[in-house]
Amino acid sequence: MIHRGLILSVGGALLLGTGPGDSEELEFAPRQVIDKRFPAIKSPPRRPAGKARMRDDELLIGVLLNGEACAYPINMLTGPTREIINDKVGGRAIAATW
Amino acid sequence: MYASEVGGRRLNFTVSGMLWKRSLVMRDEETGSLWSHQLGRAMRGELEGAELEMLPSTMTDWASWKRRHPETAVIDLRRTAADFTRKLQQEAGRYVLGLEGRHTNRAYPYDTARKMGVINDTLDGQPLLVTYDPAGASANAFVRELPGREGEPVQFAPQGTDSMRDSLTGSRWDRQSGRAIDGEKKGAALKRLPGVPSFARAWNDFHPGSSTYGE
Repeated sequence: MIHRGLILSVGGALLLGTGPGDSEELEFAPRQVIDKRFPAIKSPPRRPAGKARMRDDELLIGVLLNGEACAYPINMLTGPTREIINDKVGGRAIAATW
Repeated sequence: MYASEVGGRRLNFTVSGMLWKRSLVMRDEETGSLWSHQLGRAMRGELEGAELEMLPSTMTDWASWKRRHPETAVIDLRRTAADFTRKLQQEAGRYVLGLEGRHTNRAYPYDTARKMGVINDTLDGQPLLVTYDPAGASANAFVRELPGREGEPVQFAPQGTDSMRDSLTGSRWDRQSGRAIDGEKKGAALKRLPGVPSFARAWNDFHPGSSTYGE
């Protein structure tokens, strides 16, 4: 698919192509769909692989950082309040999302 | 998967209750800035313009991940969905692995990766490799160079259902983890690139100039 609005990210600046309508391409226009505050999910409980309550065919996002592996099952990362998990893996602060 | 430190400051993200282009808008608790989940960029607030570092990660199934990382931990929360399983393969046409180059972006359809097994490509001068492992329904991206032999062009060819061989040493590599399992390079690992598994439509909505491999 060919798009007219070519976006180049140069040195942190966002340059938009100049066709009609292109400026709308990435104009930030969020829409409030849930009018409620949700606290961030931080350092959720974990289990070692041997004690995991997982089905073999369940999808996950796996991350390996500085030798530490952790799996974030997509079935636990889905839904309006659950899309982001704040955690620490291999000494690094991460936001698990997909 | 993002690193959540910006300028030395740890941020904690939550859902904002907002959507933009049908996609999640995140809010950080520390400054209240609003972030595009797809772009990893602060769009409004004190941190506007800041970008999160994307971390290499892989989307695969539990059996495949556990086999390669027997020491892994797994998050244990109540499930909010049940339908994300390796049957993803049957709807591979909806998914792409998105890669951001230095100047341009490219989407690799899961379907194409599944048919080819291994895709040798170059994006903005960066030699890269996209692989598909059917057992775990997993598409992955790596730098197309052998560890210790950087700067030398190398091609990979699929071998069996889940491995591949490189053209320089003939070593056999696992397509999902990028680790050499046999041959001269046994034990070495390719450098993983942060590919984004995404619905094709969402990738194109947020990366309107993106090319698609094979088109």
